[in-house]
Amino acid sequence: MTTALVTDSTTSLAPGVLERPDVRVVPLTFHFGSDETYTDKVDMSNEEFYERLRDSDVFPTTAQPAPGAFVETYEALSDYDDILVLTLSSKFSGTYDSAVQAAGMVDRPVHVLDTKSAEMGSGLILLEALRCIDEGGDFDEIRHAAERAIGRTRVLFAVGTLEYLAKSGRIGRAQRLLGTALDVRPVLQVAEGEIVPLKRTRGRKRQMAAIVGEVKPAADAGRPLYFGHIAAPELLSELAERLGVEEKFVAEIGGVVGSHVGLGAYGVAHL
Amino acid sequence: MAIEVAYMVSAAHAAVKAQVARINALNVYPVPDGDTGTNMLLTLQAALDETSEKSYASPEEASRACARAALMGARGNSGVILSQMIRGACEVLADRDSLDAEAFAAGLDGARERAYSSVREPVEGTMLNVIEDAARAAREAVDAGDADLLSVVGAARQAAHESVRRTPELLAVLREAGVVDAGGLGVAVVLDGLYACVSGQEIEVPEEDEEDTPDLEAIHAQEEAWGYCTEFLVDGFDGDSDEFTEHVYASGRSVFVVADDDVVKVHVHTQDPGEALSYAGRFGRLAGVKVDDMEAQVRSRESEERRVARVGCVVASRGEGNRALFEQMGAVVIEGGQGENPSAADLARAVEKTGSSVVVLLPNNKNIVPTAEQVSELVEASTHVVPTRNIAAGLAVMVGYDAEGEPDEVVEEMREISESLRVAEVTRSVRDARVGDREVPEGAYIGFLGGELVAVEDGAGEAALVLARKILGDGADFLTLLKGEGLAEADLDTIVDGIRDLGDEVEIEVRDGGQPLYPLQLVAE
Repeated sequence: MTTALVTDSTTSLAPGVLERPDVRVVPLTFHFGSDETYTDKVDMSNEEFYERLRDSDVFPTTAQPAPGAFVETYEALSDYDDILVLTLSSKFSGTYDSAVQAAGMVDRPVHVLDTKSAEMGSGLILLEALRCIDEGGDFDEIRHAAERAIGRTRVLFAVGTLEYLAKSGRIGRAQRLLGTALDVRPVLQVAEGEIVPLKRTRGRKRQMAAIVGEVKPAADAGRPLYFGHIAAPELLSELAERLGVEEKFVAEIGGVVGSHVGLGAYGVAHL
Repeated sequence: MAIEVAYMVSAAHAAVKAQVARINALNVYPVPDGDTGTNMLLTLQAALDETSEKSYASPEEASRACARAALMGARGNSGVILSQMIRGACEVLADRDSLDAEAFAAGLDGARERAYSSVREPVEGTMLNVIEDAARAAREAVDAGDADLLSVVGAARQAAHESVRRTPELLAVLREAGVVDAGGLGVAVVLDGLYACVSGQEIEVPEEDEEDTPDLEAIHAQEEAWGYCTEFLVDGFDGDSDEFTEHVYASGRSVFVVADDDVVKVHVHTQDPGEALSYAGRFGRLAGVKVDDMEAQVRSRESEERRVARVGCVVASRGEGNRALFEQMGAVVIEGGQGENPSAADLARAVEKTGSSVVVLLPNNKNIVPTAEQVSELVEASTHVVPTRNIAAGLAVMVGYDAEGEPDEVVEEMREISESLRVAEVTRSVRDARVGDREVPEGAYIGFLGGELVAVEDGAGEAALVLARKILGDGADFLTLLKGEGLAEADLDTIVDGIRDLGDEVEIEVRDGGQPLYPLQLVAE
């Protein structure tokens, strides 16, 4: 019995994952204005994307994959007995819906899971599922491994500004931080699939200290960590150093999630 | 039995009013606060407003009304303590049928007891000693046997003044500043008033300075919404100005009629602006007519504000910039701060305005902290005072405010932030003084860190840098600077550059608060 994994392009992929034949990625797209469409993490280098984000006065928008893109992918995996699909949070995107609709359009069993996360978070969840595959697990075991990881994964992150989250409508319960007249740097968390403010801090240092305080126990316990950033590699190194860990998994956040959180964001996911 | 208390209250009020400037001048630090006399006077004013032209069915009813009015009107530290003295005395007198020597001594003792219990850490050399000495003298005079009311009040009054003269021996800051305690003098002056009242003397009150033009803004801020706010000028006024004024006063509320040569300015809230205008038109040409429907304004404001927060927040603040910042963050702002303390009733009204059942109060000034602590007795909401010491600290604490959060957690979070702050401010000396071993010339820029004088400089910038150096030396890494009146933009830039030179790790946020008296307030985290 063989199982293939399908995910979307907002999942951060650890080195080597993309080369695996049993993993397929369905891309989302992002757009600057109505006539410029780019495939996430494919059509535009991160450097170029960051530059556009900095200079453009239009906010980029993003689009879920069409169900047809998932149908094609499912069909291309005919060599595998089972397909497990891991999508980003259904509260951020209709990608999950596309994947589910597509599952009903092919005449073979496809199981779709909402990771209730994205980027580094769904990246860790994917790694757990892959580990189970490599240890010879059957489909149910693999699915359980993924579900367990979904229940345990936390993503903590810092944004330079709440403006992008607000304009893109993904701000969730962090909405209430918007009226703050002072420069407040919140620490945000992805919980139950949406963005929740965890702590309000003032100043970059306090913001990082708050993340360190939250993640340190997991880091000290040797649990898997996945770092991610948008044009903020030096902040990330500082964070890893303060957590006392090596930056084993580091994601450069792509255009789709980047469009929603803005430049200078960084964070870490842990199991 | 009809009881009138107004004559006593009125005598105390008149005595303080006559001495208010003198009491105000007795501030320890050469900072422009000097409002002890004003605060005590306003507290008595509240009691006077309640009791004047009224008689009460019983001593108990009179006492309760008077004590409550003082409590509602209490302003500033000294006002709050005075209101507690009034309350203590009223509680005793509630059971007495007449004011005799024994009742007076007992009343003073009640005042002493309430005053002491209202202060968590009583300090020697303050109004507490004065009331204690006065109460003791009254008791001794009664115990001596032959004393009538007048001689007991006289003994108390004399002991109070002697006690005031001793306050510098008890309190080092008074000694260094070369002054007696202002609140203590206030207590002695109140006893002077009572003595004059019992002996039948008149108290001379100096003429009040007439203000040139009434502050209409202030009236709007205080006035309840009623009818149409109507303003106009009558140019080339010709007619009986007394008759005109009387008519306008009879036609509405919040009336001001100000005449300057043949131009008369009128402000009135009336239900019939048309009548007011056509009447005035008979006396001259109308100009600058402005009519606003206040009730409609309030209705639209209320519909915007109808959402009641789970946790409300009330702040005392001064300066337009600060008001906007606090309001943006969801607080109800009442104007008040250094030199202009709000009353407990002002704060209570603001608490009620939030509509919330849990309300956090940020006094933003140490003199307002005790007033804020009185508010819980006046409102149904559960109030929590986070004792912020300046406006900048209040802003920093607002970062922890979450209108929809779990009330206990929100209060705790705001307390925690408050405790982690270091507050500092720059102001100007209002007179020559000596503080500790420092000479403070009038007009010098002086810097306070955590309430202590640490800088005396010629310029605001130098004083700010002395403060910043000390704060950063203690390990702070985030500074908020709040620009006030009297600090130029260019000077502010110089200060910010200077602070950055002290340590490149520090993060600085600058806001234009516009507060008076403090060109700069700082808070460090």
